[in-house]
Amino acid sequence: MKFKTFTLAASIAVIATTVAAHKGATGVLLERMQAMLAMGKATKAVAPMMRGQIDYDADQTRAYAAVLQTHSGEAMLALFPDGLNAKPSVAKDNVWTDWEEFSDLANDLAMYAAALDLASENGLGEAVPAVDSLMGGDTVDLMGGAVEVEQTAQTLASLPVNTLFAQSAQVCSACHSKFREEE
Amino acid sequence: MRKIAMGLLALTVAGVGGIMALRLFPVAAPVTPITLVGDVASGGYLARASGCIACHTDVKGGGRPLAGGTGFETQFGTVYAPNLTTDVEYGIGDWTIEDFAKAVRQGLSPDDIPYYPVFTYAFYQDFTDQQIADLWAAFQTVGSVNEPAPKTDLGFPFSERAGLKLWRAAFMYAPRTSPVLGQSDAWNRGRELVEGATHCAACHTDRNIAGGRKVNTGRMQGNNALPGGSKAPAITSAALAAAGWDLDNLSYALQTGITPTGDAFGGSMGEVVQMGTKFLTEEDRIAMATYLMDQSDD
Repeated sequence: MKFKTFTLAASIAVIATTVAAHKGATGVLLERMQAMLAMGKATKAVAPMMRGQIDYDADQTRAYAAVLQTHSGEAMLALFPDGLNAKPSVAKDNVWTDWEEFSDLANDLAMYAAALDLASENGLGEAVPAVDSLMGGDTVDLMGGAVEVEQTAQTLASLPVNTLFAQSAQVCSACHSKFREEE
Repeated sequence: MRKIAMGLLALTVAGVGGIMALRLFPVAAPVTPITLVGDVASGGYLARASGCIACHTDVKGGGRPLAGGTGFETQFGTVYAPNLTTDVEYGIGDWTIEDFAKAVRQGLSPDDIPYYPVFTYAFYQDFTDQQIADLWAAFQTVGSVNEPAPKTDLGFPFSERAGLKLWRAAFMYAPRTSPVLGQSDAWNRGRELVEGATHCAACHTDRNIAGGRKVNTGRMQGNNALPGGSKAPAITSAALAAAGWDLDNLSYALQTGITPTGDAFGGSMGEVVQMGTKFLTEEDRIAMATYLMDQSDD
């Protein structure tokens, strides 16, 4: 009998924990977190190919680009309606005070998603150091004074897929650094 | 009553005397003139690796590169990164290369006043004259920004920078950059970067109540109280392996920010990659990961 009680209590505890993990994350908040997780999962899955550890497959790149396209740009911004923030979402409130920068990053990701799709047949190339990819490649870049060149998906589409993948990940990281609460 | 007053007076005299003595106590090592010609590209590369741009650029406030202004909220108060542009009024435009060498390697201002150890000069102590000349050449290419960075004003006693001379005597550790016989070139290069220029331990090692690194008990074991309240995880070789890191994914993360779970770094580590390690060569990132995954001389 005691064992049964224990089992029941344990089951309730498990259910309670499961509910707690999603508690608060309903509706848009839940969608927001799921969108981020979907991109992370896709990134993890495609990373070995992007690094040349397994054979390159352009279909995989297009599928990955599609996941990013689904969750970036306007689609991402729609998941951050004015000031909507609560735990367990880890968005910082400056998403809304620095909205222009946040939306630029969301749109940059959409641009890279489009570029990855266009460039899928390019395959992998030589790893391009960040200096060169900043256009110009002189020390002005190294010291932080580079003039930003306006990029489009079309101009980016000439780059090797692994370079685009690395740069798109850097967009994720830049956005997380500025707008995500760290544990 | 009179005794108490006399006692307080004596303490004050002793305190003021102590501070005066500390102010006069010399800590600067002589700086020999540096006549080497610097290489701008090598200096820029080293500046990226060393985090000069990352810390001295107020990205959040939209500041210009190296114009300072980044605030570091420590338990002693907020320390602001100074303007390192070529501006004569507010930057380092009127410095000599010897002033610069003393600041970078010794953590002392041109007037021999110690900098707060938020500035990670302790990790740069082994920079060669050539590296200093390279950095100096690169810094000369930075456009002048004629704006002052906010002044750092910590409450007493921390406002008394002479007190930092005692701190230096206790906690200014020599960097562990010297090569180890029998290790590979990549490992030794990684050691030079990790323990020197890229100063990983500055954030990833816990600090004591005085802000000194716990080099014996907490080396690379993480820090839960970084400036601004963020946390740095443990990066001992064992901790890294347990968290799913290996040579391959770690060197890749230093380029892209992608973690083994498919997440991308945020927080200060995101900034380290964005403004620092992504500019390194693949060879150097692999070297760093090689050393980090096998810090076997500990």
